[in-house]
Parts: sequence; structure tokens; C-alpha cells
Amino acid sequence: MTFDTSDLVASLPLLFLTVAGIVLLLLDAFSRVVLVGREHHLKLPAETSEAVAVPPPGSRNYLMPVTLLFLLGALAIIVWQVGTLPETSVTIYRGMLVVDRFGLFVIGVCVAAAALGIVSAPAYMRAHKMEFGEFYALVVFALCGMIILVQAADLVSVFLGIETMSLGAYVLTGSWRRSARSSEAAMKYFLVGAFVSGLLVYGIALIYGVTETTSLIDIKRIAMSRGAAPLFYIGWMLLLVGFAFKLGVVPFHMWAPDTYDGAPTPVSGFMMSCIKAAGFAGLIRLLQGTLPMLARDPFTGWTFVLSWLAVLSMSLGNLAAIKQDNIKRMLAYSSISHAGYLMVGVVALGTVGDAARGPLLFYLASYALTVVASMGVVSWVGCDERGEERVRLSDWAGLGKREPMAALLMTIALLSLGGFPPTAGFFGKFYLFQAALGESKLLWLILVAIANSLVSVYYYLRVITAMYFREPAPNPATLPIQSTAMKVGVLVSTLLVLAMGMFPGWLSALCAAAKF
Amino acid sequence: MSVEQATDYGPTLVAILFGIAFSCVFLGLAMFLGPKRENAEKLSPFECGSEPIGSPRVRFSVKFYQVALLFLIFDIEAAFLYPWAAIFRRLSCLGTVIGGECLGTVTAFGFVEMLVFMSTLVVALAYVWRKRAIGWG
Amino acid sequence: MQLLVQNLLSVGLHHYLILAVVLFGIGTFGVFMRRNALTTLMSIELILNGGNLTLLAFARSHQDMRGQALALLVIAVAAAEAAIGLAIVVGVFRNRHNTNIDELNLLRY
Repeated sequence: MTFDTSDLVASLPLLFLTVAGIVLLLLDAFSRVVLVGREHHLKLPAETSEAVAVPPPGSRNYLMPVTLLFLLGALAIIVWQVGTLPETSVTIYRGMLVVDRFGLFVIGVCVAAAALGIVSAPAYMRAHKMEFGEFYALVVFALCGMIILVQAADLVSVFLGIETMSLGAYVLTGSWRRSARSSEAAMKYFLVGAFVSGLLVYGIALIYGVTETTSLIDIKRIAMSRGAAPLFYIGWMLLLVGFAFKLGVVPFHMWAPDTYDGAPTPVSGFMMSCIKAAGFAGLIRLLQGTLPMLARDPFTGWTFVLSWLAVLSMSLGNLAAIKQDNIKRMLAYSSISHAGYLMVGVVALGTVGDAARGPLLFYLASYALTVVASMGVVSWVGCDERGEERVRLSDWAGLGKREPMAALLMTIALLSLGGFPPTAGFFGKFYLFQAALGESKLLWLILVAIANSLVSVYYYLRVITAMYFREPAPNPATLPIQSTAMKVGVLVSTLLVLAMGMFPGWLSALCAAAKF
Repeated sequence: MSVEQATDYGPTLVAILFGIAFSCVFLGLAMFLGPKRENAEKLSPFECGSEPIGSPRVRFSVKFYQVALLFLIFDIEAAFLYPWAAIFRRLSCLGTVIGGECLGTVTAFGFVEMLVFMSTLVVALAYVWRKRAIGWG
Repeated sequence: MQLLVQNLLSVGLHHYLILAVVLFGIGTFGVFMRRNALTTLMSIELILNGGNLTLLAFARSHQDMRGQALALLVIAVAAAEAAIGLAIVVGVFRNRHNTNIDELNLLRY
């Protein structure tokens, strides 16, 4: 065996980001630390009485621009790769990964959303007095996992991708070490996630046992020619449940609100946008790419199973979101219902076929950017003197007067989430439902989805009315975070959301071209 | 699915159902049927018949956890060396390997691959060292 | 039924598969029944080992190395997961002095 340079070139985004992550990790490790006594560390166990080395406040801020440069570099590589890609997909590393336009598009969305999300991290960490230099390295490592998942051509790389992505996300969720809420969120997310990885391993093992292979192409060939054995059904059902857990789809969603609510806000944004996008891409590859023949069986086909998951997810997510007084938690439940809309897209893929893939990708991209924008504003609104986040609806009353820019950008993001023109969210839903209507059997699902988006308008508008028409509480002790980088990040993502809504043609053409 | 396959995997399926039922039944039996007569004597930890000294719930220093975690990680990585060693000859050979002899050009492929893997571990070690997680104090 | 009996009498693939399912079952039972984070972690390890055993049994019966390679990866991932899990448990303990999952209720509405 020898080195295959074409493999290395084809996996350049992954290699580049891996090296970037290592560099960031070492930069953090070799940057300045100060020794402080235990009085600076809240609630340390009594045994660690000696001084511990901690980064001085603000000493890791320089990592953000460095990370941003790396991510922009990765984006440039991806754009270059799209330009040089041959018409047919290329399998690399002996059938482990596949490079195609579909994968590159989703990776591009993930990297862009991560880049727009991390710019608010330094200001957020400073305001909440959490110094966590590994943040940037972990984001980049999680992105590497997403790339592996999105480009997976083998069940082994599906598993490795999901795990790499999740391991980063667990640590990021618990990175606000002084906050009991953050560590509680991390614990819940971790326990569910680790259980899911057990399900995935078992499912993969069963599929491997039946088909004698782990390669997705071979599995497709064998399932086509021999039909699916009972063990194979159990195997892919376990995989499906695993993905449903990871994506936070009802009834596998119980971790999602707690985790998104308790995690540091930039991390919640990263998880809601990037992990969701990568997870759905992996699911599409697994279902439509590998098991299209199992789509339409009555009761056991995946379109049947997923359509019920979609209905449950949309309805319960929306119902729970209505009750929320906490805006971060409301966005978490809204992300559950958006996972439901996306599931409608996956169902459409199974029934209508390839025509639904472009609209689904459009929805993924628009949702990822909208979430990054809205979570950026949640960071922006800031905290009280004790460092608690101001996420209650009452804290946001009168924001239109205090921080007009933040209120305006949040309004646009919320309108996009609710699916109003002229934002990206409108065209996301419009294209998706239009594609799904290609099959009249799906009409009931579309009607449920439309009814749900009408319901969701209520709680999005409630935030907007609170910002503009409610008088602020007499004691508005909120300290908005003043950070140019954060404001620019939110502004750029909101402008992109608007641009995608006003000129949807270029993006939908890009999505339609993103083939396997 | 065809009938033939159904019989192929039928026994396995039955066996799996049996396995699930078996584990559930016995755990359930232990939970519901087992008498729970708890008294001080029964609840106290068994220490070779002598009276226990102090509480068994001593708080261990967090250092123990740290060392255990690091050991866990670096120990497992060593497991990847075995398959690498097993196929090293084939990895480094451009051609067929017969009886451990390479009938083609020998390349540095296998060696370099392991160097890459090892340098990643060195990065991890450097990180751990700078974070003062190794050492006791 | 006769086939089943026959299968059960000689140690073969099915025995490993049954053992793996028993491990998987005990692990799942533990995840849903035990309320201590550390016990849950141990149950998850049981599930992973059940999956691993299945992989190895199939790899042996297929005379294929891929299953073994995947099992090795799973072991490495499980170690990383256990490390992160323990770190998270220590983190929760520092904040709450308790690792009972049912008492983690700050995040309710």
C-alpha cells in the first residue's frame, strides 16, 4: 500500500480542520496561565487546596479570530472543491468517505454557521466570567466529526462521525463549569447520547451480521437483491431511533430543551444549527441513499414511521413552546418542531424522490442561519449583575427602545422561524411543502405542518410584541453585551437570512445541484 | 423478505427474544420477589467479620479521577498498535506478501501512518502536561 | 423448535448473540431503572459491550476482519466517552454534591 494523494486532496476540508483543531488546542495550552488559590474556584472539593492554573480573563480572546480564519479557509477549500468535483461521486479512503456535492453543501452550511456563531463567544465568556480556551478547538473537532458523518460511505464512518461530533458537544455543553445548569445540561445530554451510541453500535452490529458488510453501497445492493431479513429490520430501526435521539425528535426529545437551555448560548446555537444539519444529512444518506427500497412498505417503511415522528415532533414541540416564558427554552422547543418540519422533508424524499432533496437542503440552510442569528441576539441581550442570563420574556420587554438594533435583528430572525416572507424561513417552508405535494398521499402531513406553523406564529409574535409594545420592568438591570464582533456576526447572519428570502433563486439552484 | 431468509434468521430472532425475556424476567424477579428485610446488620458493609472503621464513603481526591481518566485514554490508544503490527508487512509492501516476504517495493506507508497516529497522541500528552493534569501536586 | 434446540446444544454464533442480547438487555434495564449517574454509565458500557460481542461473533462467523476493526474503534470511543462522562459527573458533583439523576431539576419550567 502507498500514499494516495488523490484521497488526501479529496478529504482536504477534513484534514485542514483537524490540523486547525490541533493548532488551536496547543495555542490554548501554551498560552499564559495564572496560578490562583482555591478561593477563586467556587465549590472546589476541599482536597484540591493547592493553587490551580487558570487562564487569566480575556487571555484566550485572540483564539476567536484565529478560529475564524481557519473556518473561512475551510470554506474556501470547500468552494474550490465544489468547482473541481467530477459529475459522479468519488469514494475515498477505501470506501470510508464519499465526496459529492450533497456532502460539500451541508459541510459548507455547518462551517458557515459555526463561523457566524463563534464570533459571539469571547464576549459571552467575558460577560459570564467563564474562561474556556478549549472552546474553539472543541468546536473545530466537532465540525470534523460532522464532516465524517456527512461524507460517510460506511457504517463505521457514520458511527465515528456521530461520536466525534457528540464528544465535542458534551464538553461544550458543560463548559460553563461554575454554572450548575450547564453541568446539569451536559449530564443529561451525555447520558442520553452515550445510551444512543450503544443503540447505534448494536444496530450496526446486526446489519453487519446480516449483510456481511458495513459499506453503505454494498448494504444497498444486498438489501435490494435479497430483501431485508428480520434482524436487518431491527438493526436499522435501532439506527433510526439513534438518529431520532440525536436530532431531538419527539418522542426522543426529552434531553433537548434542558440541554439547549442550560448550555452556554453560543454552544446552544452551534448545536441547534450544525448538529441538526449534519445529523439530517447523515439520516438522508442512510435512508434515501442506502435504503430507498424500504421507504414505502405499509407500517414498516421508514416514510410511515418518520411521518408519525414528524407529526408528533411538530405538534408537541409547538404546544410546549407556547407555554414558555424563557426565550432560550422557547427556541429549544421550536427547534424540536423544526426537526418535525425537516422530517416532513425526509418523508417527501422517500415518496417523491430526489425532487425533495433541494428543498430540504434549503430548509436546513435557512434554519441553521436563522438559529445562529437568534441565539446571537440572546447572547447580546446579556446578563444581570450576578451573571445570570436575561432570557425571561419580562427581561426583554422594551428591548426595542433600549437596544433597537438587537430588537430589529431578533424580529427578522423570529419572522424567519415563523415562516413569514420575505425571509429565508418562508421560502424554506414554501419549497418543502411544494415538493411534498408532488405526492397526494402526503397532503394530510402538509396540512398538519401548515396548521403547526400557524400555531407557532403565536409564540414568535409574543416575543416581538414584548420587545416593542411592553413597557420595561421598573428595574431593568440588564447589561447588554457590547461587542462589535458579536454584533457583526448577528448582522451578517440576519442579512443572509433576508437575502435568502428576497433572492431565493441562487440558493435553491445550489441546493438542487447538491446531488449524491 | 423471502420465506427462506425468515427461516435462516428465525432461530436467531427467537434466541434474541429469549435473551431479552431472560434478562428482564430475572432482573424483575430479583426486584419484586426478593425479600427486603433490611436491618442494621445486613446493611453494614462486610469487612471480614470485624467492625467497620469509619465511613466507607471516603471522598477521594479528584487527582485519582484525573489519573484514572488519562490512563484510560492512553491505554486504549495502545490497542490500536496491535492490528497495525499484525498487518504491518502488508501495509508496507507494494505487491503481494508471501510468507512474510514482500515481493514488491517496500514503502514507508505503514510506518508513516503510525507516526501520524503517535504524533496526535503526543499532542494530547503535551496538552495534558501544560494543563498540569499529570503529576501529583 | 428442533432447529432452536439443535442450535442451543453446540456453542456457536447463536450463543454469543444470546449473551450479547442479555448484556444489551441488562444494560438497557439499568439505564432506565437506575438513578445514579455512575450506575447508568456502567449500564451503558454493558450495552456497548453487548454490541461489541455481536460484532465479534459475526466477524468470526463471516471470517471477516471488518467487524473486529469496528469493535476496536467502539472500545476506543467507549473509553473516550467514559472519560468525558466521569468528568461531567465530577463537574455536577462539584456544583450539586449529588449525582442522583432525579434530583437534577434546575432545568424545569
